[in-house]
Amino acid sequence: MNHDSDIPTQAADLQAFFDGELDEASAERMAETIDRDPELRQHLDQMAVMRDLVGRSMEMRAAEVPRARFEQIWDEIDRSISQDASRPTAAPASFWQRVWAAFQPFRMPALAAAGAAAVALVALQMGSPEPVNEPPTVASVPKTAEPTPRDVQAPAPTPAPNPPAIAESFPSPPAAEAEIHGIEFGGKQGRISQTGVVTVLYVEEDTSAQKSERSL
Amino acid sequence: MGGLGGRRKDGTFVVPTDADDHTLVEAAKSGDRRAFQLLFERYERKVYAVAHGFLRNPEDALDVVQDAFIKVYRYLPNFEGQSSFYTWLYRITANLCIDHLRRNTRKKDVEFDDRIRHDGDAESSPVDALPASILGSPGEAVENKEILAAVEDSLKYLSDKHRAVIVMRELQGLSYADMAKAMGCSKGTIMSRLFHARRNMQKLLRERLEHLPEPSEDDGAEGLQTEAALP
Repeated sequence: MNHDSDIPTQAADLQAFFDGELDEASAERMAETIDRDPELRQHLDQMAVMRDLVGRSMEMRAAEVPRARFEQIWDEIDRSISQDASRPTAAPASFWQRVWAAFQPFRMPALAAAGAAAVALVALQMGSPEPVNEPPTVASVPKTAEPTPRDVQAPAPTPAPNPPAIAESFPSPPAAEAEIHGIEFGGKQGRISQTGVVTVLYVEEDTSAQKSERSL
Repeated sequence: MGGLGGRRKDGTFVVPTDADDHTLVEAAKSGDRRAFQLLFERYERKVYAVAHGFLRNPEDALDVVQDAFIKVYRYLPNFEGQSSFYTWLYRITANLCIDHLRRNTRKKDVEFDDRIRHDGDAESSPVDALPASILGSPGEAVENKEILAAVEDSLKYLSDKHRAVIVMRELQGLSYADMAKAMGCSKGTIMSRLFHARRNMQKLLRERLEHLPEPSEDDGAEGLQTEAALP
């Protein structure tokens, strides 16, 4: 028997003997010791009396409770048991429910990580040099100049002093006869250097002309 | 098992009222509410005595009785009968009482520490000896309600921990190991606590009994004298 250090060994052994906590050999030795020592016998008797008194005093207190009070308690117990029984029993969890339950501790961190990844993805997309899934442009429709974040961040390109005129993009065709009834060119007057049957092939601004209608 | 059982119209077996615990437990396990009620009626006052011993409050003790039996019913399917039913029931009751005390920690007028001794060191046990009038023939002595009232009053002045070990050991008969498990401490601590609790209880009781009148010969006083009486 292990003894606590603050109890005298013999007192601890006597108590353990009284409480039936000694092994058989130790109990036999203790019994012999008690037989030889009247003082130990007195202690043992005192503990027996105390146990008897404590037990009887508590039973006396319990006997004072009227039977009807316990019947009330039973009614409460019975009601509680009935409530338990009326609750629907949960169906056995499916495989995925068990997996979901197993990952319960990781749900919140995973949710946070997914959220952070989504934010990062959106930020990357907005900063991408080539737009993704941009609708195809139509040649005849000029693109609206929508500034991208990169355009905003990038240093503005220096504007060309004089953008090249369209006429300079094409070789001047040889002169030929043409008949033209009139021309308006951006509110300015101009000349036609070559015509086909109906198609105007080339238009060039004539800064020297003063009339909108003239013979070529 | 005494008494005769019978069968209901639906073929189920009716457990006799004097069936042993094991039979009642098995019947209750199979859903026999009446069998469980018989267990309740058999142990209601014992469980109450334990709870009142711990808590010293009648209504709190009744609450524990209710909670204990509800818990027992819920865990009945898990009860395999390795210990007796009442040992299992008492363990549950003790745990509920200890939980209740932990939730409602309160200061007492007198709070004893485990190591406080009231009459010198632990070797001087005879100083705390009980009066001779209650030794030797406790069966007759406890007929005197004044003595039992003195015991109750003494228990009231023990600390919660000391009263808990006294109740668990003297009333419930729990082993040191079970007590240690219930109180969440070592067996050594239980031994020490029990030792000092008994000494404190003895001292408190002695102080109260000294004020009681000596029993006269007419009420059986001669039967109370014993050679075990202490000086």
